[in-house]
Amino acid sequence: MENSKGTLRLGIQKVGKFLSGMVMPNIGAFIAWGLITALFIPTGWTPNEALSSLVGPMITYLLPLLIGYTGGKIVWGVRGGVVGAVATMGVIVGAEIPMFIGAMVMGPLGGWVIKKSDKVLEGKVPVGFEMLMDNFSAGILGMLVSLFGFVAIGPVIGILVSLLQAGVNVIIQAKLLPLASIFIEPGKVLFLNNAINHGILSPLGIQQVQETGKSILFLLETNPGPGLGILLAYWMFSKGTVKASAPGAIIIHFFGGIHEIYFPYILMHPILILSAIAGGASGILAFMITGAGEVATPSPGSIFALMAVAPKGGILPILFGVAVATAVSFVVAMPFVKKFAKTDDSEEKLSNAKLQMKDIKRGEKITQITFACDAGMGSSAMGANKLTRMLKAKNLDIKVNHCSVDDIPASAQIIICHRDLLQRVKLSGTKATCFSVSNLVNAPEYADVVELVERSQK
Amino acid sequence: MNFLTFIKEQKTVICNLKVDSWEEAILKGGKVLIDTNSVRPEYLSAIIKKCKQYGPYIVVAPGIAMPHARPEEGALALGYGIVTLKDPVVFNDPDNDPIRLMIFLSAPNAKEHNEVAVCQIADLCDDEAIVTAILNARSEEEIISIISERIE
Repeated sequence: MENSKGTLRLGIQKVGKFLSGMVMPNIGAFIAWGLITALFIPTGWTPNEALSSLVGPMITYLLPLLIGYTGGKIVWGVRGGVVGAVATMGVIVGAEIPMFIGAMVMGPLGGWVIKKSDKVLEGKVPVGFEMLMDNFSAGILGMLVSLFGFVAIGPVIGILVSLLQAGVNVIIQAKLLPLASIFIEPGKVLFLNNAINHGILSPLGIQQVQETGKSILFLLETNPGPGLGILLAYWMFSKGTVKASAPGAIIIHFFGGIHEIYFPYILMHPILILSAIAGGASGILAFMITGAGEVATPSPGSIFALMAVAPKGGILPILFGVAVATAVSFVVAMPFVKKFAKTDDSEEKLSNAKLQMKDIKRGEKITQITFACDAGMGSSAMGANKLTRMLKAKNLDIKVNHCSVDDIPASAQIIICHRDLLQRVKLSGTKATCFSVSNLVNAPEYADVVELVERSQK
Repeated sequence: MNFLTFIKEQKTVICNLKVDSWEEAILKGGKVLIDTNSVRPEYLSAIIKKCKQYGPYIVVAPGIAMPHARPEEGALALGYGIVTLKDPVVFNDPDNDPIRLMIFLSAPNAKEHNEVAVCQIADLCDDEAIVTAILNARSEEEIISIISERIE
């Protein structure tokens, strides 16, 4: 009984770690995009038509491809990343909206496909044809997954859009406006909010402005409160790169009005959509109580634009609603961000400790690889076995030996160990470069090691 | 001694063992080594103690653990055993949990005898078809026959 609950929680944790692992390393790219957008779009801080031409292609291609590549890489190393990126292109081109979530699905899918294929083909390839098979299997599978994505994504988006539009419509008719956040906030993160806007909110909003001089509908989606609350929670309670990136994101989001910048922070931990919804709903409630409204759609959704299109004397209600939304979103996000802070930080440290090609000094010829484990005869021998096979298959003459962490030879150049032992290996004072893996029997990193050895032998 | 031959001849196999924790899995599963006098009982406690101290170092691949400790911690003779768990158990290795297959291992000293065996174990763990077959087996005899078939 106890164990099945444990396994379920484990499954959820694994998926969660996977998601954040796909997004976190790429936050820098998101920030770069956010800054360019905030600065150079026509409604930006320093409009510049030429430079603003970067905005579209970056969010359409660069950001999703980075996510897709990272996702594939987590599954099956660099090879998985390549196929993952190719697969992601399928949904990027097949859809008309930015494909963040599409990338989070297609990237790992591409990686998984090539992983399965490599396992099936292992040992069955005639000598001399390995590289041919490697490249063609990746190429053909990449093509197939990409085509699948291209064809499948259209209908999927169509269904989602209809669902969201129907939902928002029902709510507006029923005059239960705060509940609209249930559809609007997820809709935003899915980049489907334009469909909601043009389809429903804008026409109605314009009508209301003609009748009463303002409309609350222009605030439903543009309230920067929910996003700000989440970013503030990350800034206060998370650790590492995520925490460091938050202030920049806050500026881009709240003062630049580029809401997209907070999407990766939700995508990393999708449960946070709840704080966005709570913040959004409470903000709408506050707007309703104070009779807030805008004369037109604030664009971009920055605090300045919100104030700029306010009706005469209507700024305070708007600011009040933004503050309420921020506070509620922050409070709801707080417990989640705190919980994730610890695991995110240790995951980041671990992925930095994993195989990094750039750490090998260039030019140093690699003549031996050492596996280390506690006793020097069990786990280390396992890893050595697999890697030796892989190196032999490529005719690379290199010693693979194994040792105990207490007995690391002075001649060791590269040391590979289980992630739990990395600390002990480093503490031994060895001058070798150390890497950790989690699957000793067949780590995706072994392929990277083989490539490294190949290159160093040239 | 050959890992596969040892299993076939000594029949050190437990199929679908019911346990509620990883500690229990090691203590109960480790019987395969105790019954053949390959280890003293403290060998198993040593494994548990080390896992608590350093983390689950015995987990080698998704779903697979290879419980073993150092020779001086209670190994008497070369010994191997295969234990499958009825329900998967969490060993606190987030990348590889949960575990259902355990391959017990003991070696009293020098690496030479053991290296061949560990290579065989590694190859076995890398072979998804065989791992699945062993996990799906419904009796000790079935596992032993799977292993016997693998002996070339």
